[in-house]
Amino acid sequence: MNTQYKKGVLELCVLSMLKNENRYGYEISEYLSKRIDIADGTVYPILRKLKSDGLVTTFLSEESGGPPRKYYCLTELGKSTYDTDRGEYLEFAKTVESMLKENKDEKE
Amino acid sequence: MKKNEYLAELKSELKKNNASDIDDIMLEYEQHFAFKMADGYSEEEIAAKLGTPKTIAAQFDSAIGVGKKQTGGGFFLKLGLGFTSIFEAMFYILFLAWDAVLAAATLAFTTLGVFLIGDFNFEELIPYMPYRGALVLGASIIGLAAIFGVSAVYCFEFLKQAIKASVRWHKNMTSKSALPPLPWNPQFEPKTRRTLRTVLLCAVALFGACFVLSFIIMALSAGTMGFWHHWNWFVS
Repeated sequence: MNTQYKKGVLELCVLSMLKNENRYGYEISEYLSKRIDIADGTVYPILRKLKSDGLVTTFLSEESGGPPRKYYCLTELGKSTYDTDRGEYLEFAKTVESMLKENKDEKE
Repeated sequence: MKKNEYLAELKSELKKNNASDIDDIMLEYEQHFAFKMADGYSEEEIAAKLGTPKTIAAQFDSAIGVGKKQTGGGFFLKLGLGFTSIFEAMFYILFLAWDAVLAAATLAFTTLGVFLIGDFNFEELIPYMPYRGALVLGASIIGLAAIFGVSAVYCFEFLKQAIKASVRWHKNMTSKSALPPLPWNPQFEPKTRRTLRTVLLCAVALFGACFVLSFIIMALSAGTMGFWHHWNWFVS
């Protein structure tokens, strides 16, 4: 699948992961790359873009026996953006799905 | 590719693309390696799964949005920029002077604090006070010196970053290809920032507590709130 196309959707996935919980970069990267076929390194640029757009902020947290972890958490803007984008995406996906299915039924 | 090789290549690619805040980006990838290695993956495997440094660096470039601008130039634009830089230069010089004042204050207060604590007096410049009071007052002055010191460091960093950002801005206004703008606020390493904050907080606490305490000590030993009259501080 086209990476550029995936990127927009991945942003939404990252926001959804952060909706209820603060997570650190590696955690997000692992979770997504296990489920979606992307290179491990692609998640960090997305996180950075979300940060520069003001949707997430970061903070460092010292962990016992390890380097400090950089945690990401949603800002108020991030939360409201996620809510609207989520609704729009679900609507969009429903339409696309029904269109594609129709197409398949015709062929059969 | 080995870890160090990968990271070095990524860094040079990021530099080539003029990505902002490269150290911060590198930190994420260093941590990625650390976590993966703890899970038992080999350095080569991790590097292969990350994607090539070139493609990753390219994504950062677009992530901060390198705006391709229309045209730079035009006589009036350059004239305007010229005037702007004159005002900027004046501001920078003033600000540098201010920073010098802060640095001088730091030095002066440190000296005074050391003199008070060490019970030195140069040419009888420091008026009489009991040593108990001088000791505590000295500690508070050292705290004050630290407050000025941190301010001086912060202001200097601010000036440096402001000049960098402004140079970038001027370049972007006149050249055709725009580089990403630089942030205007001081860019400290997280560790340095934490240290500065801790020092500042301790210094404020030290200054406040010791100043009040020294006032009380002096008032008690002079037997009056206006102890400076009692010891004729301002009478030559």
